[in-house]
Formats: sequence, C-alpha cells, structure tokens
Amino acid sequence: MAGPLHQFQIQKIVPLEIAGADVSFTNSALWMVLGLATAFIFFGLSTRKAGVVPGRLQMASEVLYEFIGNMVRDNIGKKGYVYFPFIFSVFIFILLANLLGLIPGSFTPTSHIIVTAALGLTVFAGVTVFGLWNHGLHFFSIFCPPGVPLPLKFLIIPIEIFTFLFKPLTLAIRLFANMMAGHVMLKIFASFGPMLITLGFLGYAMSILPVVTNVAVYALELLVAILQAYIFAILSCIYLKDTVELHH
Amino acid sequence: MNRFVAFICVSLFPSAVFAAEGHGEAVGPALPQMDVATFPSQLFWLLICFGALFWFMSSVAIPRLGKVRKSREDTLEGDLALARQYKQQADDEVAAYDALIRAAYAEAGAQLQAAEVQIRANAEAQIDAFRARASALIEEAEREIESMRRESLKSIDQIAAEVAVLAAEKIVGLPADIDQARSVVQTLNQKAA
Repeated sequence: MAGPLHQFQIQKIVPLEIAGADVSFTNSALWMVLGLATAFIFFGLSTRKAGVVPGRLQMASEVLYEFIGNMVRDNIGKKGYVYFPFIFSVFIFILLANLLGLIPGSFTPTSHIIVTAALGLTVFAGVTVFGLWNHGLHFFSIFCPPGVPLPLKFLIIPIEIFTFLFKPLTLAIRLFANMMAGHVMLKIFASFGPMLITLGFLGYAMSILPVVTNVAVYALELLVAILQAYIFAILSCIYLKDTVELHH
Repeated sequence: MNRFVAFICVSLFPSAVFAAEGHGEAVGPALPQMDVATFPSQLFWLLICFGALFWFMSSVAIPRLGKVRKSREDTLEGDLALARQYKQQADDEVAAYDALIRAAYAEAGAQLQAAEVQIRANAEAQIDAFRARASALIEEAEREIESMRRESLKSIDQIAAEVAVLAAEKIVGLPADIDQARSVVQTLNQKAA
C-alpha cells in the first residue's frame, strides 16, 4: 500500500513540451481544468437567464458575488472595486480546487507549494506594482508607521520590510500546508482500517473506528477547504488595501 | 432509514478510496511537492486555468451579475418611486377634499348668516310697516272721534236751546224765541270754555 504522500504525486496524462520546458498535461492540470469547467458551468448557467427575481442557481452565484463584494468593500473600500474581479477569481479558483480535491481519488492542485506560491506572488506583485503606480515612491512609507519615535524607527522599519517580503510566503505556505496536512490526515486514518483488518477478528471489529473518525475529519476538511479560500481572499484584500490608501 | 444508509455509504466511501488508491512506488523526492521537474507544467496550467477563469469572471460572470443586481435595484427603486408618487397623489386628493369640505362649510355658514340678516331685516321692515299703518289708523280714528264729538256738541247746543224754549213755554208760559235761546246757549258755552 502506498504511503500518505503518494496522493500528491504528479502524474503525466498527456506528455507535452513547449520550448524545451515540460508542460505535460498532468493530474494536477486535469483538476485545475475541471475546476475551471465547474466555474464556467456554474456561473455560465446561473447567470445565463439572470432575472430580477432569481432562481436557486442564480441566488447561489449572487450570494458568492455579494459575499466577496462585501469583503472587498469592507477591507479595501470603495476604490477597491478594481480588484474585485481578481479577488473573486482567486476565491473561486482556490475554493473549487480545494473542494474538488476532496473528491476521493481526485487531486488537489492547491496542495502543491508551487501553485500556492504562484498565487501568493501574484498578489504580492499586484500589491507592489499597483502600490508604486498609485502612490509613487511614497508607497514605501508603508514600512514606517506614523507617530513612531526616531530611535524606534531603526527597529520598526526592518521589521516592516521583513513582514512585507514574507506576506506572499505566508499566503503560499498557509494554503499549501493546510491542504496537504488535511489530505495526509485523511490518508493516514483511512489506512488504519486495512491495517486493523489484518490483525484478526478484534481488529476487524475495531476497524470501524478509523472509518468513523475519517467521516469527522472529512467534514472538518470541507470546512478547511472553504475557510482557506476565504482566508486567502481576505488577506489579499488586506494587502491590496495599501495600494489604495496608505496608513491605516 | 434509506437516507441514513445512503449517508453512511457515502460517508464511508472516501475512506475506502483513500485507503485503496495509489499502487506502485513513488519516484523522485520523498515529498512530491519538492519535485522541481513538475513546476513548469504546474505553473503553465495554473497560468492557463487562472487566466481563463479571470477572463471569464471579469468579462462574463461579474458583468452579468452586476447588471442583474443593478436592474433589481432599479426595479425596486422604480417601484418605490411609483409608490411614493401614488401616495403623493392620494395625499393631494385628500387635501383637495378637505379644502372642498372646508370651503363648503364656510359657504354654508356665510349663507346662513346672510339668510339670518335678511330675515331680521324683513321682520323689522314688516314691524315698522305695521306700526306705521297702526298709527295712521289710530290717528284717523281719533280724528273721526273728534269730529263726531264736535257734531254731537253742536246737536247738544241745538237740543239745549230747544229744551230751553219748550221749558219756558211749559213752565213760565212765555213764548220764547228759538234764536235767542240758541245765542244764550252759545254765550254760556263760551263762558264755560
């Protein structure tokens, strides 16, 4: 039987190479594409015949729209509306990757650090580029909170720069680690079952325990899947706030 | 009960698959996430999928949802505006009705007052006319009484003269002149007056 890390193995489905780089269509790519297709179908269908009086499907997509819309407005402000499509896409992408990854036998693209790091760096690059674009060099004043006495500035400014540079890393690691840990836990509990069965009758009877535990863990993982998408989106909002208005 | 069994089956399914999946040993580093060789492929497909999702969201889903929410807001606002307009109309009607009622009351009051004044004037005029007529009648009656008194006084003089003549004849046996008697009476009358 395979170890708990085997589920994260990238497997090539269609080998592909562009300009010498291996860009094969893998199981990770498959589940990203399936997530994308789910989003297309869900939002396509629910908004196709959008009416003033919404149906169930339309209501569901409107709830998501309003949820992220409120998040953007509360955390960035009215000017943050330019970031709304990005935050909405990030939220839906991570949410669908996490949720589809919970389908047994599927693959979770967000359990790979490179994917979450790319998303985190996109946010980081957005913060830096739009911050400099909107505020010019004045943007760097985010490293120096107002009202700090001069001696403390020598301490605060390096810490603030350090914090700023670590933002994409924390975004990436938080999501990746949560997804990976959850799936490892599911795998470990699941493999307790077959192990117990080999111990004879008593083990056979007791093998129900890891299964029952796994049901609870699975429910927890559903919560984590949604929560991590939410956390990633809301932290992106908080980081992007600096590009709209400086100083808190 | 069936629902419960189905729930149990569905709940147990993940465990079974997680336990069974993955035969054949892993290749590469111990942690598949650290296999740098898979990074280009993952980044490439992430770029494609996230790019497509971002395009779809920003150019299809969000505009559609924004439009329907805007139209809902407009509909609600339009309905509310219409309701406000109808309420205003109703208020105006009530105000006009009130004004009409007040005007009617005022007019009725004025008419009543005018009628009262008229009636009073009529009554006074009639009383005055009656009084005038009555005093005229009284005056005439008084005049008539006066003339009758005079007439009767004249006849009394005549009678007195005649009675004096007759009395002179009967009592004294003297023939008396009627004209003499009359002048005596007149003289007496004048003395009395």
